[in-house]
Amino acid sequence: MEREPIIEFKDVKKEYFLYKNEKARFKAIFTKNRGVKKHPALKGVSFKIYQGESVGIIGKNGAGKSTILKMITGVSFPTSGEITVNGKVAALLELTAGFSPDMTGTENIYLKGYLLGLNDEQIKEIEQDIIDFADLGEYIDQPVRTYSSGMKMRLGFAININIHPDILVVDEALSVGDADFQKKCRDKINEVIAAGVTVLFVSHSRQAIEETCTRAIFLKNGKVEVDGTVEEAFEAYGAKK
Amino acid sequence: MEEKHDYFGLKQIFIEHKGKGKQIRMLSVNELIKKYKGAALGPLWALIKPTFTLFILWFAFDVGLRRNGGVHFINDKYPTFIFLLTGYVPWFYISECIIGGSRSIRQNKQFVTKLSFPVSNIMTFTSLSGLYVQLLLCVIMYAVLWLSGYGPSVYNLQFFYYVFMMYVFFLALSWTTAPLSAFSKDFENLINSIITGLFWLSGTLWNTYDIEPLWVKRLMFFNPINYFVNGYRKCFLTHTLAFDSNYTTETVVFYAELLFLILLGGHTYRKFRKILPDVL
Repeated sequence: MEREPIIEFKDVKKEYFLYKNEKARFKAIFTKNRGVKKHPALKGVSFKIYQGESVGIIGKNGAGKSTILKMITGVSFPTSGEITVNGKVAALLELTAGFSPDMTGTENIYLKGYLLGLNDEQIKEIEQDIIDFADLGEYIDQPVRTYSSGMKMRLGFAININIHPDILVVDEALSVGDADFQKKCRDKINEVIAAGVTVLFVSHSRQAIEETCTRAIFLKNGKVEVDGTVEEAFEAYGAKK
Repeated sequence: MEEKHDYFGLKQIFIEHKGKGKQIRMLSVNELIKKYKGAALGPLWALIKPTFTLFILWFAFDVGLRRNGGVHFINDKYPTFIFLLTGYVPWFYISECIIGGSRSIRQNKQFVTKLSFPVSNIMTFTSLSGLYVQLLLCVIMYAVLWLSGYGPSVYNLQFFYYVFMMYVFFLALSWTTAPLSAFSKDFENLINSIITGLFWLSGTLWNTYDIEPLWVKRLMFFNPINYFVNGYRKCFLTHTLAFDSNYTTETVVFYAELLFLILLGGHTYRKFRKILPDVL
């Protein structure tokens, strides 16, 4: 029997509307976007990712990487096609999104926990892990607005990585805090990967992808150009640079 | 995620709210704090501002002008200040709901563009944060009414009906206005421009039941604000039943409008939900 994929894209297309100005936008409310220019970001993308796989996604800026990640995390929706995601997604993309600056670190753990779909019990279970990992000392009981940007990122990372995800989405452009903390993050990511979670890894660095991924998808102009081994994907990517 | 049997998008809104009670409560309190942060008195300002307006009204009408014998409403004459008080208090919440509701999605942009968040919850917690203020204001209003000799009565309990309907009505309105305002800032400005006009066209300052000619009086039934403003007065001043047979037309018109808004809101919300992350 064939295994159920944990993530499946079926001929997913995404078009963004480009409004000339605010007037065109206002008009579009009543005219159903007639005559508005469209930008095709994804032109029919299909792939299947199975439990436990770690897949790298590569491609130039504007190839559609972010659009795909946004759809997997449930932020954005396809214009046509079908997307199935079976499992809890932790995205190390917008780490500080959803924080309330006027609440304390602890309160924000709860808020963010609710936002990620956890209940009180589940949050209580991981609360101490998060606090230990973020390592903010007494600041954990201070309002988040008093945090430095690095501290905010640390808290955000600590929450996202500790929710026991089924799918982990990592953008390499992510930089969290100082060198020490970055190493701590990398170790933690590797630990989660080793535990068998499914990983999607966006990066430009061949070395980074080779280290973590067994498979890579090379996107070009909104289409899957290569879906195969890391070597194959980078060969195509490198040749067309 | 697409619902096959989704009646006017209402099922989607319902599903988005399932099990989200705690999250909504937390965000509604947060909304209140956010609004008045940096001020030493914090959320107390939410009370001070309207109380001050009411104080000015009292001073102007009861101390300053003192010329008239009050306003006639349904069964009796009431001092101008008392009449205005019972109109202004619901109006504070109504205006807050109309303006705040339409802005709510744009102001909570990060939930739409950065998280997988049930967007319809934004409208729910925004209106809820205003409701806390309204309930506190009503406590103050009740005390003032009591001291002025408009003592407690069973009819006062109708207040809970009106406040609940007010919440539902303006929540349903924001299902339409919030996505549209998020999509186009011009729509938001449109709402802001209408609000002043709405105030003068509603029964906050004058008695819409006594107006001539008859067709204008009937036209006033179509302004849902009057339903609530006059409703508060029915609870606290005239002790009239909310479903009194003299006001059947008004009640029927109101419920028809509510139904229309709910259907329109569900439809608009569904239509815009999926494109909002792209346009904000």
